Amino acid sequence: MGPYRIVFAGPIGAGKTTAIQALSDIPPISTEVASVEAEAVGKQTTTVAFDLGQVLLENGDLVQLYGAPGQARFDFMWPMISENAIGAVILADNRRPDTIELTVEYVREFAPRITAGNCVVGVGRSDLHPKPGVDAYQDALEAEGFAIPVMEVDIRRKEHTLLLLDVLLARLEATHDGA
Amino acid sequence: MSELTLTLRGLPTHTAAALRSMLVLLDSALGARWRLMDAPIADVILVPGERMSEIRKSGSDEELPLLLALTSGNVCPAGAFAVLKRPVTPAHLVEVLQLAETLVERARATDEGILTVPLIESLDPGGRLAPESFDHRLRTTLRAATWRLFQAPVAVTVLDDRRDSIYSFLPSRGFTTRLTTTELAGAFRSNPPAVFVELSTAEQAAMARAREFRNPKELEWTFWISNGAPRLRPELDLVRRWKLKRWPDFGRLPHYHADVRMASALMAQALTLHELCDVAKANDDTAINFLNATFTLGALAAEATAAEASSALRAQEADKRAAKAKPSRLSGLIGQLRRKFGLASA
Repeated sequence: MGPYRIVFAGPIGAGKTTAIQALSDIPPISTEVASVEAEAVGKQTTTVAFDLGQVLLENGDLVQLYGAPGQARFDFMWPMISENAIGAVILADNRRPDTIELTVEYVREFAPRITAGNCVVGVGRSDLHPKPGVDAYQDALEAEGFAIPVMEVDIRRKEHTLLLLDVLLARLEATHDGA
Repeated sequence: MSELTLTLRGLPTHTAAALRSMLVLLDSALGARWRLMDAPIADVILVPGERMSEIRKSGSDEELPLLLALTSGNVCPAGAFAVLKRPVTPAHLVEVLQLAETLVERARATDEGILTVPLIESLDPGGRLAPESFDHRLRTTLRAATWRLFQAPVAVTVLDDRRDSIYSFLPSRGFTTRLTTTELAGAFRSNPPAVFVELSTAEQAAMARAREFRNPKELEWTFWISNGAPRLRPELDLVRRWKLKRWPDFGRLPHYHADVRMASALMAQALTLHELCDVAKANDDTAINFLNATFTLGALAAEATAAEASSALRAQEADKRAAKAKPSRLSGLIGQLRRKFGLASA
């Protein structure tokens, strides 16, 4: 069995690379190139493969941090990235008009592949784009049968990345302790 | 020793300027305890003696706020605790403020926490000595003021003992505060003395233009989650099992580590208060605050109906089967990740 993983998923510009950088013990390995898609969301570059970071634990174990590529044409990689994943952080970008639909799609794809369906959604850029609100995300997810945490975050702030991790771990504990 | 505040109301501009200068010069003689406010509310209010009849203060002359009359004669008008006679000399001003200091300290010493102090009413609609908001002021505690607001929402500013704003509330807009989320939660936990001031129409309009407002539910959550001596809300009890219908938005709402654990526990299964304490390793006070706060969000429900319980049970069993694939390694992994990132339970 390989090392455990935590997956970061979401559209381009949602903050996957930033979140991994906040947690990783090594500079994340990422493949960034200029692209039309990146420019469309105000980025210089975008990840065309995936970000890889890692967390080294005190007993020598490794937890890998995988940033799933945001473009739909790379969705064939999602099952590979999700192997041994103990949790998935789905990052939403509230600037996007289709943000709720995209978020539901990501949850639909990743939740079945992750231990105990352990996902959390972080909604970014709500400060300048307050709608849709968290309730709207939760309504949409509940309509699909998903009762997962959704919270407003600013992924540039490390404490918000840690909050998402804290929630993932708490959900894992609750599911695991109930076994 | 705490600070004492003084405000000047209804005085001619040159008189007010002269008195301000004199107070600055006398600061050391007064023990550097007096702060001159540019606000309608203070411990001592200096007003022209000839306009004292416009103010009707309920309560004794020695109850706060103290009214100090600036007059040309020796007769002390009704309602004033003392006279400051023209022309004002430094020695006389120091003497009067030292008397005020004694009365203010005595009045504060009798404060029992939640205390309704006399309201001051102004009868003159034009050229008012006291603005509208001055008439609707209540000295109380932060939690009592906020509870009152929840029962009967009005446009209000809640001030602390230094007359600095803790938050303001407009029923049509929500609440606004310059405090951080953590500072506001800390204030609710410490529950300091506060002044509850209803806002005039003009003040409301100015505030609506100038400030950003937040959802009132966030204020309610903060009120409930930050109680230093909590009791379970009457709608809740120790007997029934409670379940969360959805996660609180911990990205916006103040919370403690234990709240995340409790949310996880209550999303996974219905629990009584004491079961929740055991499962989430939380103490009674923390769990009571959490149940009260989540109830106020409408996110808490009593134990499911039989049909819903069956469905939930099937989902739980599926989760358990999935989790069982990696039992012992996961426990160790979770603990190590928590220690690594400082995410241990509070």
